[in-house]
Amino acid sequence: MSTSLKVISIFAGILVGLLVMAQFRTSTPISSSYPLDQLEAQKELVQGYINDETQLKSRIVSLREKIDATLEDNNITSQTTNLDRLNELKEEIGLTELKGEGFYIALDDSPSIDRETIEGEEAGIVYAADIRDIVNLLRANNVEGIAINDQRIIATSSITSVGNTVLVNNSHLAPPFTISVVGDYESFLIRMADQAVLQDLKQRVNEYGIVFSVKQAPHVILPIYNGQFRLKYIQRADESTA
Amino acid sequence: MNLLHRKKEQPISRTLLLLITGLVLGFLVMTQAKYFTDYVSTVGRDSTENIFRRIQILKTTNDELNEEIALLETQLEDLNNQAQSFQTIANDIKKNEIIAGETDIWGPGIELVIDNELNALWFTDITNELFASGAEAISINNIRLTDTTIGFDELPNGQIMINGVILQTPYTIHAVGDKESLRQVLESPFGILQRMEATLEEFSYSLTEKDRIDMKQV
Repeated sequence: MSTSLKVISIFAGILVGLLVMAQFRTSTPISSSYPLDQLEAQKELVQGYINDETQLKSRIVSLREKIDATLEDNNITSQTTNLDRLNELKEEIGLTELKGEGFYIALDDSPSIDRETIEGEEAGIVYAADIRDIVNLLRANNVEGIAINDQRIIATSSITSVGNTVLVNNSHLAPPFTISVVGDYESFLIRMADQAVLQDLKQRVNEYGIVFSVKQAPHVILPIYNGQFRLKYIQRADESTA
Repeated sequence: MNLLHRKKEQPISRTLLLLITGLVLGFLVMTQAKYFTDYVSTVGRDSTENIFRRIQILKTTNDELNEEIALLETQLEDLNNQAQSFQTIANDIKKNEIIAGETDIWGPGIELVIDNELNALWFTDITNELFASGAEAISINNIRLTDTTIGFDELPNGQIMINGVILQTPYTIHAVGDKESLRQVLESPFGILQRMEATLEEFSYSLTEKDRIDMKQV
């Protein structure tokens, strides 16, 4: 048997094997079983919810501002101490604007990638996990406050994703992501210089073109937290018993 | 005669053998590729596309935002009433003290105990998963996570530090909230615990629903 025939036989075998497996793999595209109009309806439903959410959050901000203004107007002497305490707590939990010296972190997908069209894992896009790692690093660096695009980060903030959509405080965010930080720029740079820090992201910045930059800013303004506080199951120990 | 016949047959059986080998090889290559893709999506740190999950999150969020609006409207109304304003401020302080972690609290929830050494990203992901699933308060080895908590820091020797305290195994994570749904989320297919099982060697944990979890003020 000639060598060329052997080679042809091997390749033919591999090809058949590949085809058989490709057949297996294409047998369960769950999402493709939806008719096009149903997919369109789902998209519209999602968009409707997103629009409602935006309106609700802006209503919350407006009500919190009205409450603050009313508290100022009702500035009764006997309540001054209480008001100070209330304002101190509000500041701590993200219910006041935070202004100060800090920096911005810009984070974006690789310019060659369209987030809308990719399927599965793609090293060139920014994942929720990347943002989570940056936020944790900032917290470990003891910064005063963080916001991502227009979302203020508080203790209970979650940064998740559904497919390629990033959710911060359950709000849909699209790239580019701007992480605004009130805190020490120099000490963050020192942390970033450590090779072990954000290793995976740094590698993808170098190899896949993810956009990542840090810029110092003298006046950073972080918005008020515009979401809800969940207090359905939690109780004060000094007020109730089991 | 017999010898001649054998000589003729040999190339055909070889070709067949090569063809079968190639077939098996191709099959194995693709199987491997498929398993690798499945593995990546299992251990990937973020969930896969699911339109129903997306709609569910949006709906729940909007319901909670509506509840918050109702609460704020009542608060504003009470503040406009001079007689009630003092009590409204006092109530708001009490509520914000809970959120800030400045008072002892209790509530139903879950207790997750992990025996393995973990790196910072797992702590980040577990707490994130719990908050995303409705946890109202979380503590790790009795350190309550609040707005003033210093994040998870990985020391050069691999130890994890939070708030200046080095965490020791076993790691005990408490979360106050809807205990049943918190447990379900953690144990769901492709959920955080399954991803940890797929990634960490001899991963060992216990997850218990609790009627009462107490957390001290910060």
